[in-house]
Amino acid sequence: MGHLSQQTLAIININIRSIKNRLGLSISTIFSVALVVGVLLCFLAMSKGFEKTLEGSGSEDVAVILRSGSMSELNSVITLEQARIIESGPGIRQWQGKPMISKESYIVVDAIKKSSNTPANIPLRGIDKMGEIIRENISIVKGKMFTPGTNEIVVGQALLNNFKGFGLNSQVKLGNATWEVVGIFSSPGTVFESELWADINVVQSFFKRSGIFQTIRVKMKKPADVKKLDEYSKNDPRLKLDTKSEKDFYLEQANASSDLIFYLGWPLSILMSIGSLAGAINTMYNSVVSRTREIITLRVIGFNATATFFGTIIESLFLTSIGATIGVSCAYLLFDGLTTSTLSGNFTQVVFSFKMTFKLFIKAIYLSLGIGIVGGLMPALRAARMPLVKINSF
Amino acid sequence: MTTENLITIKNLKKTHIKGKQALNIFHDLNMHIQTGNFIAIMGPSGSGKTTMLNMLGGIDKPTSGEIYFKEDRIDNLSENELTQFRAMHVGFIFQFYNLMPMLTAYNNVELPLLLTDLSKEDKIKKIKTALEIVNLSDRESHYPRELSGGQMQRVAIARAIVSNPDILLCDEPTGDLDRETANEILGVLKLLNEELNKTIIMVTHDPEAARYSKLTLHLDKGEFNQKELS
Ligand SMILES: Nc1ncnc2c1ncn2[C@@H]1O[C@H](COP(=O)(O)OP(=O)(O)OP(=O)(O)O)[C@@H](O)[C@H]1O
Ligand SMILES: [Mg+2]
Repeated sequence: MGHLSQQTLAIININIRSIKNRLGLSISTIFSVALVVGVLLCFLAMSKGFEKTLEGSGSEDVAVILRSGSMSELNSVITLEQARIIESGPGIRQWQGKPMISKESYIVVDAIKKSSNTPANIPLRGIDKMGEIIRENISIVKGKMFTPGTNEIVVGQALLNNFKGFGLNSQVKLGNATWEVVGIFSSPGTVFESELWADINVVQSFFKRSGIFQTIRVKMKKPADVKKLDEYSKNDPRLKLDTKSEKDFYLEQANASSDLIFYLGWPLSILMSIGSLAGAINTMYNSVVSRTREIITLRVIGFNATATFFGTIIESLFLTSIGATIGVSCAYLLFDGLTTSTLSGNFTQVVFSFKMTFKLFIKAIYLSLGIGIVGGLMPALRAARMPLVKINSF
Repeated sequence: MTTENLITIKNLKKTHIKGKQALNIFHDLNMHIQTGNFIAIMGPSGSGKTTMLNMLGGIDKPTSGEIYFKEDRIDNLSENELTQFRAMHVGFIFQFYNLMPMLTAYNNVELPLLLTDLSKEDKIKKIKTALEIVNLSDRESHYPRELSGGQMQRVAIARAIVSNPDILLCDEPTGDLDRETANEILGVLKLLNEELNKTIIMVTHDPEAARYSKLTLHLDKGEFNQKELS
């Protein structure tokens, strides 16, 4: 007997050659699949890019210390006394005879987003010399570092690109004070690029926070020492503080926020997929019904029911894979590397890039194949079960 | 000429269910059809001519009774076995040709060969021969819409004979054609019967068409006017 694949190929050939008879429906199916795939990829790429930025921000051997129970730097408070106790903790690396501890303030200020022209919160971080030394992959790309004791600020590259008025040498009003931008710094792929930095003492006095910090960063001798420092602080009743590695700190924030994008993205995509599925089913029913005469004739001649079934499923897959290809290409061309900003766990804006990866493409392709198979299933069964005695009623 | 029985029908009963109504088409039919015969079946509309062809071709099944093809019973075959039976033994010719509009004449004739394991060269040879027999070699790359009714029916005949089936079943093969074209088609059928010894059963309303056959049977009220066919 003739091979099933030979029969199926013949039926696919007939189906695909007759697509032009139902071009409108076929094209709308293709585009609805393209849309679903595009939207899904957009969300996934956003989530991925956001994750990458926050993950890239943390070092394993830097301990971040916040008030116990604070989820973010913003609502943490640490006193000078607590900071002093930390200074005599174990495992802290030394630099020119001093412990590598950076006491930092973290304050929210307003700025105008370039893309939407609307105000948004951005972080102003007060640091001292040690704060700069601890962050190893920071470099000044234009101008210079702020001078301690002055109202000079430096601006992260990503923040400069996405917000108005932070060009080199410009004057900016933050809180009640006016500041001068003296430098632009870069720290590729980290949240720090979305921050303003100024001298800790000046920030504390301008914002009336003398003696109070939001966070302490400690450079440890080795990553494992982070845990030792945490135990040390837990054993001291005066310190109600949480200590974790900077890497874990940002990972937790990344999870919280990219989950949000993720959990919004999938349901929306699934909802749209249902719409696109309905379209595919309709198109394939139409395809089968419009070929009733051909299908029954082939069956009477001796073509297998199975071949008719697969012929229809494959036509459906053919349409949805064209859709997926269009969706993937558009998503790639439009979104890959596109930079945007969103709220981080700190409720300040984090600038990040969409990140298209091969894995995301595979997910989108699976979704479209799913639509193709499910959409073609009932019509294909119908094709396989057409009553042959109808042959004489055409 | 051989006188072997190609088809034997025993105690055949066929009832169509239409809604809640049962329609008795055949009550207790017995007959033989011999290899090499060319039978025309005539009869009033609704007498069951198409139903008979469908059962002989493995498209429909009797309600009870037996149908033998040579020695083999076919009325109790499974759906898949019937599909194979049709592919191997039966050529169908329809009133409205039933060609695939998106395929050329050549590719239409090729269809039944896709159900065989013949080599590519053998397939080409068979398709060319079939098109030659119906005198359409010069039209092999034409699409059905580029052909006349008679030409389309000739493509359909080529398709029906290309895999060398034992029997040709034709339901009103000239019903859609003018007199002259009809005679041409009937001439082709007669030639297939006489020169290539094809067994043909043809349903027709047209007495002139029936004259091309070796034997004309009249079907009425579930009975043929002649039972022992020679
Ligand atoms: N699948 C079916 N279901 C129910 N009734 C059917 C079916 N097929 C045929 N019939 C009925 O059975 C009777 C015989 O039908 P059939 O098509 O065999 O007649 P016919 O002799 O070929 O008629 P015609 O000359 O009009 O083609 C008709 O009354 C028809 O309505
Ligand atoms: Mg009929």
